[in-house]
Amino acid sequence: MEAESPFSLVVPQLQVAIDSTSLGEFKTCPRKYQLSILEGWQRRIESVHLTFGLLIHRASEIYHHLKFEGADHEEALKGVVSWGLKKTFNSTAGKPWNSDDPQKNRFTFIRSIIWYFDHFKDDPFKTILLNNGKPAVELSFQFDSTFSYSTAEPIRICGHLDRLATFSDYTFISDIKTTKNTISKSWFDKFTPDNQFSTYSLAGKIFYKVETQGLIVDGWQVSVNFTKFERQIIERNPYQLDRWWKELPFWFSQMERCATDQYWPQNDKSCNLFGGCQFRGVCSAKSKQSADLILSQDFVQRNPRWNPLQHRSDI
Amino acid sequence: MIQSELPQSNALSEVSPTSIQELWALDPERWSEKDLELTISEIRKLRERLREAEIAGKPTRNVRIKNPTLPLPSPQPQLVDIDVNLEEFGI
Repeated sequence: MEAESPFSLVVPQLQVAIDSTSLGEFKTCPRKYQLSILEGWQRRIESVHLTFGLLIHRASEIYHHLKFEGADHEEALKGVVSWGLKKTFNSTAGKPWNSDDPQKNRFTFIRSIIWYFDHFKDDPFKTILLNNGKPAVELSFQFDSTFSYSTAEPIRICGHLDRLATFSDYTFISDIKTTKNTISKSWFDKFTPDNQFSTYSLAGKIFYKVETQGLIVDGWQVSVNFTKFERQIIERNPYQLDRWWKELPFWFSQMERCATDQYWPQNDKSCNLFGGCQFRGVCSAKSKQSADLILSQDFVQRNPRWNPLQHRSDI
Repeated sequence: MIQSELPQSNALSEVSPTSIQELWALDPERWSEKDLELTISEIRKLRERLREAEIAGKPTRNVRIKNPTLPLPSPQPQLVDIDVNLEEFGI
């Protein structure tokens, strides 16, 4: 089913349904937001990290669904490994997904999910059962931010949560993050403050109406020869959430101004973040023609474009 | 475009993860339940061997899955084009 458009009916390219990815891209660099979210440009060469991330989140969803349907650990594990092997194999072409990345590839994916679900076989964090009888995994949410653009269009916050789980009568939002580096306290520290986790915390409180204590992050250190797991609770108290919330109108007003002016400026202090922006070559081009040429040669436009209102399909 | 010649199963006594990937170049739809169980079992054994190596203070970089207990569905491997388009997987 085609999802509702996340854009304004009055100002083209003004996003009225905003998820943490869109807001995060805009905060990082308006020009990057324009290229990746509004115009949908992505590298011709697949993003291994994106693929790997999508696969592990889907694997987690399938495992928890199977457990809820009555499967024991072994049955659920076999189900998810079978799915993983098939998902990473194109039967029509008769070939497997092949990644050039030694740390994120088909083997490390299958190895990691087996070790992960074995590691948390007796997980004390239990998945919540929703009123519709389904487990609370891969949950889509959207709620009114209470803020509006000058067009009078309300701004909605939306996105997808991995899992809602309880432990000792407390509720947490569960998420998986991968890294190639050793997982330490400083690795977990980067999630506070963090745009995505603040969004998730609010979604838990407002949309799902559960008083979450914060998030539990399962960090996966995915290496060539091993995968290690560390878990930590990331808290968000009312003061932290309130502060994040109060800053939203600033960012929304910037988004509206850019869309109205049809101009998204570069934040040239972000070009080197996260190993270097994928659009660095485009932004450093010596002419618009050159930038357009780089885009057409090295990138393709996502079709359909990024739409945070698109619900994730059930298995 | 890269092409990779897959190894013959009986030629392997111990294979690297890369070789395991190559063994998995055959369609999983044709795998039996036993193939799946053996795969899971071998990957679990790998974790145990890594733990043992760590406890013993031995380097872990050479700890790899041992063949031939890893299932190898027939037919025998062949040349496989591994230039894969992500969209083909619906991802």
